[in-house]
Amino acid sequence: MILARLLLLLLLPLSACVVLPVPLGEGHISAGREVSQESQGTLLVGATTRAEVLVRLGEPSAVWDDAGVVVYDWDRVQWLLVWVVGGAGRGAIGGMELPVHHMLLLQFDAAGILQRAEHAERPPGVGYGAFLRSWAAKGNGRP
Amino acid sequence: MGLIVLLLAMALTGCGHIGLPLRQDDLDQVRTGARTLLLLRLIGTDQHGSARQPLVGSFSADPIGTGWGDFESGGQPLAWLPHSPSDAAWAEGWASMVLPPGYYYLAILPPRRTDAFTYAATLDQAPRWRIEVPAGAPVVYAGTLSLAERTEPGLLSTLWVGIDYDRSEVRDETAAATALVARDLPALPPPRTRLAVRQSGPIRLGVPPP
Repeated sequence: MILARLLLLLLLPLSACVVLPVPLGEGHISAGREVSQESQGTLLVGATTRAEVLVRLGEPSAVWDDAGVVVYDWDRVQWLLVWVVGGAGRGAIGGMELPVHHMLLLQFDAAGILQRAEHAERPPGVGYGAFLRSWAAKGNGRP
Repeated sequence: MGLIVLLLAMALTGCGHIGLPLRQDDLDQVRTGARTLLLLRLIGTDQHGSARQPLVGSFSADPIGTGWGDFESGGQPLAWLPHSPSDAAWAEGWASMVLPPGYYYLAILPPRRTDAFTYAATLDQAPRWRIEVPAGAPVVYAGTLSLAERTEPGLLSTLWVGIDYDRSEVRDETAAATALVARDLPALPPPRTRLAVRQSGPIRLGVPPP
């Protein structure tokens, strides 16, 4: 894998292709609705009920009732990957946003009381279901 | 090389695909109760009452686009190639899948009027229908999705160009689904009907109640 990446880096200059990551500062939300740190701070493990969460944070992105999990997710773009390709008398330029997948994961017990609350970033290449299943498995023994 | 040329030609021409046959080992899993056979039917009808199998392309009608979401994708639709119990069933619009119990999401795109890459990028914004496959049902019928398609007069024939989602509906054709299973899959019991619904609100994950 390391050799392949090294080879790719060596080939990029040969192909007259330049790839440049550009920081976008705060960036922007490209999908979903962000839950602010302030709103997250109002959630109290062991006290806040599921009904109160819905009132404070609004409708979630996803619910997994079997595991008592409620998910709020959003994508924030803080980097733009700009590429430039040059050839004999011709060229092209383009860009690709690099979103970070944010998830506010909440797990409730059977009585609807918040047991876990965690803000996580789902790594690129890790599927939604695999990430969610893994997170829930670390919890209170529910599936 | 030949396969690459074929795929490129398909992308350029907007070809549809054929209904893949159900695999024997999948059907064996249905018989043992490990998985469920899901049946649904897709019908396209235009504003003048003409009907077609919307997954099949023709000279004047590109097929609709379909996507399938599940737990692993968080409900986000990915490209979907449906199976069908038989050629006759496929011609009637029947699509099928063998899968574990759970919530699933069927996304429908209108016939493609742009390049393949732009078209594929619109899949995650397409209207979706939620399909519920409860545990313990060998065969589930999710309804007949009657798509209200729009046609326009073309140079040589009528062109199928779009879908009116608000006029599209899920119809209950349980009798037809039961007849289909008896005809093409006689070793399986009659289907349990669980009609698909237009998705709104949070994505549901996990296994639906019985």
